Amino acid sequence: MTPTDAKRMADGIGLTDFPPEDLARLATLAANTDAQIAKLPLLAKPVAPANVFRVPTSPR
Amino acid sequence: MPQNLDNLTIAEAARRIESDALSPVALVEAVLARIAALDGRLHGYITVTATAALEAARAAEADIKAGRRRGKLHGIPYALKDNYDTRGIRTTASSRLMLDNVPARDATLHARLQAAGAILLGKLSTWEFGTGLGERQNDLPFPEPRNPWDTARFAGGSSTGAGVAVAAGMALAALGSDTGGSVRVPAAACGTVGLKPTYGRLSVAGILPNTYSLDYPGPLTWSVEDTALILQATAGHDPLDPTTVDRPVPDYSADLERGVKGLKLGVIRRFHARDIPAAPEISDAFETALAVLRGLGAELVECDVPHSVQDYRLCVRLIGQPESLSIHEIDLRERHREMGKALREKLMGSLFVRASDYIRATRWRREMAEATDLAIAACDAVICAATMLPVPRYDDEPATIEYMAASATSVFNVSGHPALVQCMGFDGRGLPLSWQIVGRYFDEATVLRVASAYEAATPWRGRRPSLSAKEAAPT
Repeated sequence: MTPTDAKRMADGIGLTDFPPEDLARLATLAANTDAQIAKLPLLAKPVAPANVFRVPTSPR
Repeated sequence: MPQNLDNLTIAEAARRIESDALSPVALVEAVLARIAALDGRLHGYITVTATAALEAARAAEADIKAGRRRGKLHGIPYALKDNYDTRGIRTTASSRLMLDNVPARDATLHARLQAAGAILLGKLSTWEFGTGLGERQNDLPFPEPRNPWDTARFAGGSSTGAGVAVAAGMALAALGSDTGGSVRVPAAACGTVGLKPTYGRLSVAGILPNTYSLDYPGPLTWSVEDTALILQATAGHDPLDPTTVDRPVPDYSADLERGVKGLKLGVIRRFHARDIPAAPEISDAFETALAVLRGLGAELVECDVPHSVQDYRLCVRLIGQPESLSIHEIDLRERHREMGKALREKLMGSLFVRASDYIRATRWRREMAEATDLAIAACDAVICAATMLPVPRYDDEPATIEYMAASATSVFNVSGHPALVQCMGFDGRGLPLSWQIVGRYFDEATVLRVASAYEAATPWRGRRPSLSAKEAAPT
């Protein structure tokens, strides 16, 4: 991600006051996050999330 | 002749209070005096509630004298990480965003300790909202805590003040919170006991969140017996926290003296031998500590899990980051200049985690938790490393980040198992070395039993930081 891409991303989420050094840092952090995500394994489709919604007991 | 009240454990103080050999007022006065003498340099506390603590101590003393003693925690002083809500007392999470935050209610665990008659001393330093990877926290509104064993050394995080206060005798117990090791790493760095219980055992209601699915409250104390006492008073279902589990709370002190003879204890070596090679002093101390348990009659068996420390840390990161962003997104947009660098950069990095990546990480969590439980459930308890490097200087940021990364604590935030950190000796610089004892789901009792047997067989609890009021004068 280039600083220009980072600025577009920051603007898109309302971070409009980031100076150039913060945008450069944002680009670095984005690259780091992408590298981490690339390490996530592929999982079989039936593997559901750990924190699925549970229905509580209705009060009587 | 005046009693020396420095460094009393809860159990010892409770015995003296029960036999009328110690007054809660004298105890609270002694601990407040220690805070006044030491905390100018250690910086464990953000807020000290001295007046209210003394008032509560006088009330406790009157109740006890009138035969209305509520139990072992009546009159015992404790402190809270400053992300626990305390009615009428500022709760900052060490953040400029929260400097004016005065909660209207108490966190459930604080309310339970109050109901047991324990006495709040104040609020303890934390990394901002419990977030960080070991970065310097010198851009927050409060000073960085220092390690009581050597004030030039790192004290871990994020429940930093909790580790510092308990190790320095500035609280008999503290409650912290743990998303990837934030109770257990400060416990390791400061040489205390630190417990992250089973997910759902302790309520998070009224604790400012770091994440929504990885946060665990937990106690830090000097002794294993004290951890059992705090857990006893705080455990159990809470209608205000739907993640708490409605199941009976056992007597956590009942088995503390049963020893480990006949227990089958798994030993996981991969974390410190394969994934992150530990410093030789730590792996040597680990083997020596195992020999103690073997000598006490435990059966030690090799045990393994199919994932690396790095896998568990990645899972915590990719679940924790987007959950944190969900908590702080509006503040990131509108007040990011008031945030410390660690929180701000974590949130900035979180912007790039897609929803499907987050969900994939939570699916991976399920698979990892099941695989971890297969290993642990085959034993009565499991032993593994906690932190794998010597405690670094507090101002050496690359080293403090490396120290945090070289820990096997996040494993059990992912899996949900109870995990206790305990001192297993000291390195050549006199800094604590620690290991982890891990149990089956909701079997904190066996974890405490193993830890208690080890504690009783070793001399480590007899050694305290050598700080004196003179040494601790502000520099």
